[in-house]
Amino acid sequence: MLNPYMPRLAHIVDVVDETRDVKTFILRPESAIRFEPGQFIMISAFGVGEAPFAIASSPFRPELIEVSIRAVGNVTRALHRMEKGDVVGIRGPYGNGFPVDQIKGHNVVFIAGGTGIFGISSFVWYIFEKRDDFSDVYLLYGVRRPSLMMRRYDLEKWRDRIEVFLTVDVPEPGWNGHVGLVTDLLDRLSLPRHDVVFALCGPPLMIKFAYYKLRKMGYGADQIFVSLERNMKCGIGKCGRCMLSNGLYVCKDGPVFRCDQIPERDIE
Amino acid sequence: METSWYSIDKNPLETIFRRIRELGYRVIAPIRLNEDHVVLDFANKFDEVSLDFIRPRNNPKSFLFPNEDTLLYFDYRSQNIKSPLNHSEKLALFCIHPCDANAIYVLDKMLLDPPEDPYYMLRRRNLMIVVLDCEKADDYCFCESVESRVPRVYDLWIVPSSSKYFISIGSRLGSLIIDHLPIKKDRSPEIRELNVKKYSFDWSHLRDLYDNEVWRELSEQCVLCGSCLSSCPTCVCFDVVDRVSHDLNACRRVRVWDSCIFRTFTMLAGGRIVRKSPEERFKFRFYHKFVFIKERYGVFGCTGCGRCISRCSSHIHPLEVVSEVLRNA
Ligand SMILES: Cc1cc2nc3c(=O)[nH]c(=O)nc-3n(C[C@H](O)[C@H](O)[C@H](O)COP(=O)(O)OP(=O)(O)OC[C@H]3O[C@@H](n4cnc5c(N)ncnc54)[C@H](O)[C@@H]3O)c2cc1C
Ligand code: SF4
Ligand code: SF4
Ligand code: FES
Repeated sequence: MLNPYMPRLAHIVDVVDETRDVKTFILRPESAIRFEPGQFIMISAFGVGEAPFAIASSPFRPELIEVSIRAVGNVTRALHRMEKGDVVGIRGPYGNGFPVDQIKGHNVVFIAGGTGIFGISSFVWYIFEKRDDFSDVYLLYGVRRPSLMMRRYDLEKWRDRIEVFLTVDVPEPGWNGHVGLVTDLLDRLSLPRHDVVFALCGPPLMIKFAYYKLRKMGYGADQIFVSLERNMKCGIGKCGRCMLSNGLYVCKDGPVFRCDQIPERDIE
Repeated sequence: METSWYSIDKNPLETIFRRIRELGYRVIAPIRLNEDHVVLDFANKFDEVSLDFIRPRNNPKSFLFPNEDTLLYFDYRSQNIKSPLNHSEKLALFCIHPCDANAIYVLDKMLLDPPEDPYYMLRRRNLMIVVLDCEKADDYCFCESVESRVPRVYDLWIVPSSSKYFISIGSRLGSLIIDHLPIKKDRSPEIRELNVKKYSFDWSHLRDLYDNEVWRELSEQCVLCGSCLSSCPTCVCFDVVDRVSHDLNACRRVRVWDSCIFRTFTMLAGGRIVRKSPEERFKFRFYHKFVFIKERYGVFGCTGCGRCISRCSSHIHPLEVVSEVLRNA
């Protein structure tokens, strides 16, 4: 019988240090996980628990998937203790992902803060591979300090085909890039008014701030997509934890929402 | 469901009880614990069954969606994930009331909505439901105000009247249970009106009152203990927890009943809580039951059984709350 709660095993092929508390895990699932950009999986550290993580790698490489994980609690710390060769449980992919067909042909502006980069990475990779399907593409990415910049190797690669703008809150020696909020970068772009969509992922305050700023700049809520984070235990619309204040499940109806489809109070 | 009715003069319950056991079902029936309490529990003999009750303390959820249900086992040495799904026990709920049958209908909607919850589905597939209609209600009952007076799902629905017993057959299993009984076709019985107070609302306004200030005031009577939700037959929100065996060789993943009224329910890494204030946590329950479930599945997520009111130290009545809120529409 089909049991959606039953994980499959995946081998850790490699572990890459990103920052002090973030590691990237390269996983080889027993069988390839075909996923849409923006979807997530549930990863088990057996005996400790299970938690949701965005798939950060390219949807065109389903046999080897990457997740970047920040150690913040029980499951994430247990995963950080694992090494190459160890085994985790994974199930999914879950969620709706970005509506690629709706976004095709448009200019796309990604706005990401901190670990929020993981939530949009697979979509950036999708665009990278299908570059001609989209107009101008920008990635605005902000972190607290330069040393906290994550997935630098991706950022470097992406620069070949999309415009990447980085910013930090607090500079460190050697940083000669932008200093300030990620939303400040918006003022430096001359964006078209129409045919542009935004994709936000990051800490609640960044999301809120970026959303209201874009609205003030005159963009419609229907031009702004957001990938939300909520407490999740099932990933399939049963445990009730991820429900928004309009009854939608972040795990099943999201995690990507077009901002006109959810109450403003949930855009955080 | 096309309802056709039969009747029988003699009380058929004992015969039905025996027949259910003959068919290989374990019977779960209302059993009197003491003067105040009746519970649903396993019954081997008909004389253990108590039919004089309004609402059992527990409800069908305890059997179909038990607390601490095992989701999987993991063995560290063999790196094997094992599923506990091998369930095939046939269970019969005998003489539950219409509201509790409707609670099962709500659980079906939520848990069998794709992807199906297999732990629930296996038990549900082997469940027999015999509904005994209510002869009385109390101040806490409000099934009639939430479209829940008539059971939506059953194998048999038995309606006692002054002179005979009416029976509606809801499934082939239902007709199998009574195939030896001398029943005859009959008109449909009069469905007794039971509730002391009736509420009728224009529910459509509720959604827009989410941010209304009245919620804060209403939430002040609530101590956020969660008794309302743990006693509720349609509340199935849960947490998932891994338990490691004493020899450290294996772990068991269980799901534990949880509820939206607790702080930790929406807690995220870093300690952020999405619904933090007592007000937000208090009101979410009403929105889930009366708005979200209704919109998604076409049925209220509340059956009017009154358990939450009976357990609450402030006797908070869901529809009194809703009427207070709608007064601000
Ligand atoms: C769709 C989605 C995608 C995500 N993608 C990523 C990603 O790519 N990378 C990433 O790093 N993260 C991601 N996250 C976040 C990640 O899922 C969480 O960081 C993870 O669930 C934390 O789990 P944990 O067991 O380590 O923390 P927990 O031990 O569960 O603790 C989390 C926090 O909640 C608190 N807490 C939890 N339960 C209780 C309790 N009972 N009592 C008191 N406090 C409690 C703890 O204090 C802690 O701060 C994503 C989340 C979602 C929803
Ligand atoms: S039982 Fe009453 S006091 Fe306790 S959480 Fe429910 S409504 Fe609040
Ligand atoms: S909310 Fe109260 S009355 Fe409604 S089904 Fe749950 S326990 Fe019964
Ligand atoms: S994670 Fe369980 S309902 Fe969304």
